[in-house]
Amino acid sequence: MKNAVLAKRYAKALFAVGKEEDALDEYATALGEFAAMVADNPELADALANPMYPLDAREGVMREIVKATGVSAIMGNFLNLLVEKRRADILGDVAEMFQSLVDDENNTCQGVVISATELSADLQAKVQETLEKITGKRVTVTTKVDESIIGGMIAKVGDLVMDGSIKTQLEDLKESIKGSE
Amino acid sequence: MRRDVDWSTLRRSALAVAVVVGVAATLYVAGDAFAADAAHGDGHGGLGLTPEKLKDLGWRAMNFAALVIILVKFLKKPIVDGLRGRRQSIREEFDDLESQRSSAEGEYQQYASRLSGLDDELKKMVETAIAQGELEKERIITEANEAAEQIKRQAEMAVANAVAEAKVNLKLEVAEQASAMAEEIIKKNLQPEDQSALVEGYLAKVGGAA
Repeated sequence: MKNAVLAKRYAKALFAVGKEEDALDEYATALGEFAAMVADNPELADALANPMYPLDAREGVMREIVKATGVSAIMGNFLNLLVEKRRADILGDVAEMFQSLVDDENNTCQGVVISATELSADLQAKVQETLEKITGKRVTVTTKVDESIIGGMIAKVGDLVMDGSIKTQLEDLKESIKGSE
Repeated sequence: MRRDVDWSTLRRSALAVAVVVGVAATLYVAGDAFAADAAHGDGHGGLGLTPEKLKDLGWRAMNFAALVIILVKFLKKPIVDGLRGRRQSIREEFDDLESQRSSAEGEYQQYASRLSGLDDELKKMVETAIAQGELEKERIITEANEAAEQIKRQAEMAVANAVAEAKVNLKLEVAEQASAMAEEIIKKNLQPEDQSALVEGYLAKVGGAA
């Protein structure tokens, strides 16, 4: 909860700057990719956020990464500020919150569609169309393949979850058999 | 046991003893004098009872009589008292023994009567014991029946619970097996076009609802 409040505060600050610079989408993309990179590398996350390491060492690590990734100066300053304020551990939350703010600004939302096999482009378009119809917003769909759902699909848009997977239907069947007299 | 003292007989006996002693003393003195005379042979003849001897005898007799009188005068009361006390104690002892005897006789009668009634008492005790035993037997049988009923009810409940639990377990097992079999069949028969159809069907369902 505390992290969410802090993340929202940092995200709003960056959002204000991004809107002024008219670079919201660019910042959202850069921040999302950076957060994903840190999340995929636990050693990197540790090097940035572990208080056991000296602060100047952590700041040095962040400066080098910013330099290597070639993000904009404002984004680089923002990331350096997070480390300086010892908030590198909420980087993921800040990225999510910032994306949410950008989506609200653009009247869009992020959607994840999980299917047992790869969806064709035509089917992906149908999914996007249906999700936009349901949410009333423009939906950016990200697809994932998970064979464990057997068949059908699961769509997540914000807090909305639509589960049409065979796995869930089998679970429901199992529960109905258990609950029958 | 009881013996009364006859004082007149005692008195007579004492007097006779005194006479006999007096006569014996007289004869002794006379014999003594006669022997002395014979030894001297002074020829006076007779018994030789001189007036001095007679006087001496008289004095001796008086002496003895005085002794007897004194003895009777001073010893009579203590002896009589002593004998009376003895008689009294003997009488009391006798009375005590009498009372003990009567008490013992009473107890004897009591025990005899109790012994005579012992058979009836014993019979009553046996009958009472039998009756109590019958009651105890009834109580034990009743309690045993109740315990048996309780055990039976508990066993029936345990069986019912076991059956219910087995049904639940069986249902769970059936559900698991059915789900597993369904999953296996679906996986085996699901084709790529079926996957598309499933997604499209679901989209139609939720899109239609929206």
